[in-house]
Amino acid sequence: MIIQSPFLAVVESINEALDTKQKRPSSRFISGGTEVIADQNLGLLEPEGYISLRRIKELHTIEPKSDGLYIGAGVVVAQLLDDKAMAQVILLKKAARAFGTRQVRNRATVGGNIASGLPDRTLLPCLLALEATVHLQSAKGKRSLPIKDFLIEPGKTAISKDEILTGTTVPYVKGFQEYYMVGPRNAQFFVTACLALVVDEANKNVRLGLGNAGPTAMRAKEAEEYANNAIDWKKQTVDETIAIKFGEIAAENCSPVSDAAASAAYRRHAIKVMSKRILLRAFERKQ
Amino acid sequence: MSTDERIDYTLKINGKPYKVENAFYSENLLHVLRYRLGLTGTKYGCEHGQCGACTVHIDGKAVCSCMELAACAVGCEITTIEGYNNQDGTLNRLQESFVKHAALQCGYCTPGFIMSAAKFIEENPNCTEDQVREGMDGNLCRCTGYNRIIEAIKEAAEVRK
Ligand SMILES: Cc1cc2nc3c(=O)[nH]c(=O)nc-3n(C[C@H](O)[C@H](O)[C@H](O)COP(=O)(O)OP(=O)(O)OC[C@H]3O[C@@H](n4cnc5c(N)ncnc54)[C@H](O)[C@@H]3O)c2cc1C
Ligand code: FES
Ligand code: FES
Repeated sequence: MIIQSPFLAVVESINEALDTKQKRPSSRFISGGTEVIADQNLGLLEPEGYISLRRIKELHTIEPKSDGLYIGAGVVVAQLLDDKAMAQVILLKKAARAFGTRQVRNRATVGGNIASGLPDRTLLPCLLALEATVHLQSAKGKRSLPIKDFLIEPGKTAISKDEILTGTTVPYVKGFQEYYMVGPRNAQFFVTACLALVVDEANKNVRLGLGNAGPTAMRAKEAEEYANNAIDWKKQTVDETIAIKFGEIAAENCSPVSDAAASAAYRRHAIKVMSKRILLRAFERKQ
Repeated sequence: MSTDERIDYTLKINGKPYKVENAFYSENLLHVLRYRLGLTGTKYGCEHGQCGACTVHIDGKAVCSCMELAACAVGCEITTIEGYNNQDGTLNRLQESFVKHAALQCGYCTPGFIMSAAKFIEENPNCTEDQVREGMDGNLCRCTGYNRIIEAIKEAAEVRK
């Protein structure tokens, strides 16, 4: 352990982190701190002790495995941009470019992004579209669950107080992958709305993840189902009327909020337009 | 707050050890640099990661000191603008380029821009103008309108080649 004081522990292994958490249940895990310390500075949270996970080396690996690319919770977003292995999951690399700022990307972790469970987080719609698995560990043992079961409501996830998120496994999917967002500006701000499309060529289906379009990041199931039937998989084509309908169905079935950044109607409109464009883009290359 | 919440530690800043005593565990690095150690070159802007005025290098990465728990930087190499400056008071290439292009007015954002740009140029020696614009996405300036800053950084990158 690098620091072991009553309110701050800087640990070097998962076991040390879990041990410390058991002894001090009110302490909060902190990785990059780009959410926690920013909130602390703004007075949005009153710290009751921190357990810093940053020095846990075993959380920092990106490793190609047979069932997909394993990405440790401590991997920072800058690594998603730079690591060679990310070429196998191009969606996360693309989304990483649209994430925060250079300084933020050097610190913000994949684990912190997933664990926050907030609907506007960049990686969540991507991981939903890729059907990633989330790995958790507590003193009692390990468990893994699909990201869709992990996200419960805004800021609430399936993680329990004594668990650490250790990483995620992202299946390799052959086919088009892209991330679109709208926001006040490209950098620095949270997305107003975003989406991620994955075309699974092997299984002939499309998967659309939506961000900030409902209480949690979500899949646009109805739109997917429509597209899966409407797409001419043999010719690999989509005409514009199908794409328009795809966007309309995605927009009808999401439930965005109105807030200071945008109205619900604007978000719905953004989802409609972006869904249409991303589907056309996915298939235009083939024509 | 209880005395339990205070800790002592040593930070390595610009190659020198700095003792921090009786500090709250929750203090961020920006606060410790400016108000405990008197290193006021690092600027306090938004305190939530948006303006980049507080940019420092930690173990070779440009990060916002306002979102860094100071005590978590124990054992790391921290460089602030004071350490980046030429120690004889002269300006280095990047700083000269800022002067030449009048890339500052009030100057409040400048230390953050310099620290951020220095790393950007190091990591992207053959950058294009578009890359400079994208690469400086973590710093805000309320005065210059950015073009002069981008020009200054671009020229400094070219001269370095
Ligand atoms: C200027 C700025 C811009 C930003 N832009 C974006 C953006 O474009 N997109 C985006 O999605 N987010 C953005 N963010 C938010 C934030 O940077 C990200 O969500 C980031 O991924 C959080 O990771 P972190 O490691 O910094 O989390 P931390 O602040 O360390 O932690 C966040 C939460 O996760 C928990 N946690 C962290 N790691 C673990 C773990 N391993 N196990 C269990 N719980 C854990 C913490 O207890 C805390 O509740 C931005 C933030 C700032 C300040
Ligand atoms: S003060 Fe740190 S980014 Fe603004
Ligand atoms: S010169 Fe005044 S904020 Fe940039």
